[in-house]
Amino acid sequence: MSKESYIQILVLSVVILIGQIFIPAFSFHKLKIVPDILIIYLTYIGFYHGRFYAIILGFIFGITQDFITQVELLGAMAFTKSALGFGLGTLALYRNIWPEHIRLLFIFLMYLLHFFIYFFIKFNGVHISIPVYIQVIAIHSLLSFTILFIIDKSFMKHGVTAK
Amino acid sequence: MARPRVPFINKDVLALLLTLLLSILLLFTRTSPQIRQLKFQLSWFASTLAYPVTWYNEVFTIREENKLLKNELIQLTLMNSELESYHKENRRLKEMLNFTQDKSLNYISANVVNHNFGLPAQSITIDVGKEEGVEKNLTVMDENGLLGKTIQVGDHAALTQLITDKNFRVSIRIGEDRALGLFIPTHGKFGILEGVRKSMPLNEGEIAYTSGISEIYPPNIPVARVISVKRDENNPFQHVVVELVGSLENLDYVFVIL
Repeated sequence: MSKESYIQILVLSVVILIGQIFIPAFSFHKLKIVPDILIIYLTYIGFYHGRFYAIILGFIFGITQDFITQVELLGAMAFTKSALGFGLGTLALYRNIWPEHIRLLFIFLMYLLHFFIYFFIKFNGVHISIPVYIQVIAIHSLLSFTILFIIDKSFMKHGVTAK
Repeated sequence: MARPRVPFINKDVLALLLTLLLSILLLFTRTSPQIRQLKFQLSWFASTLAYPVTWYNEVFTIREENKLLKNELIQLTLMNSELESYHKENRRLKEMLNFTQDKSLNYISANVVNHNFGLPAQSITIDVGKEEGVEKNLTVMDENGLLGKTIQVGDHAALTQLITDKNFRVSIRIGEDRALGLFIPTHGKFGILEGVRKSMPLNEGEIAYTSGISEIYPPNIPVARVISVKRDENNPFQHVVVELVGSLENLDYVFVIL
């Protein structure tokens, strides 16, 4: 990867991190739902640059999010986002093999797994019904996936939805 | 032509392992309820996984243990007959003095699945929890004496504060007069007894028992053995150094008094 690409990734990462802080949240069953744009960016890093960069960036994003939003669970987001980076990095290996719908299905499953692990840690020992737990995971995953889909269809020429 | 070298560990996998390890380390330094619960679940899961190995190892030691226990049983049977007569005599004397009968203790055995001998907090995790009837503030002991109390209880695991923890205190009785005192741990398996009055005769080797005053600990559980006694002219209390009777080395099994 060239020096320009490094700088481009770094600048975009900072911008997206700051953007994530200002994204409005909404309430669902007294639980805060925030669209996660970091995982969308991580999807593209994984898709274009492979696992290594996605893991490192996922860890940095996760640890920053932990420090900003939940010091009592420091490491939870870092853990899930590193694992997500590894998963999404697989896209680069199969970029020319998997068709569009398989790619999208894989991304959605990765998002589901990411939120499943994260909320398992977050809601551990907290009295919350399983349907609400599942709904929170599904809403987060769908929200992020929809944003990814819209961005990809609108702005990306050779993105994850390219034929 | 030399064959290209294939790296032993993939760079991506190494990065993943390092980041996950770092995340887990950070996560487990937290003390939030979610992380404590997670630690319980992992301890329980690990002990469940390790059960066949533990069972396999135990089978080989059981024969040897059985032999030792048989010898001990003979000695205890002889001692028991002697104690039986003392017990009868004691009961008769208590009846004469209108003493109420002590309740017998109900207990369950538990495996130790995790140790934390950090400074200053010292604790162990045991593989019994709410599902087995364990609650917060229950006495934990081994066959020799007091080891601590439960401080946090999960479904199948409980965190136990050890008697060696700096914040641990237990009210005791000692000597022929059954004088009251307070056990305070100092370092390792040693501690001191505070508040034992100077006028009370006390010898090395005497055992301090739980007083039964507190709601947590039942009476007459051995706590510590006296190893030195000092009397100071200017102090109304004795300076008593004690050694724990409970065995904290090779802590594998404990009993929780319900």
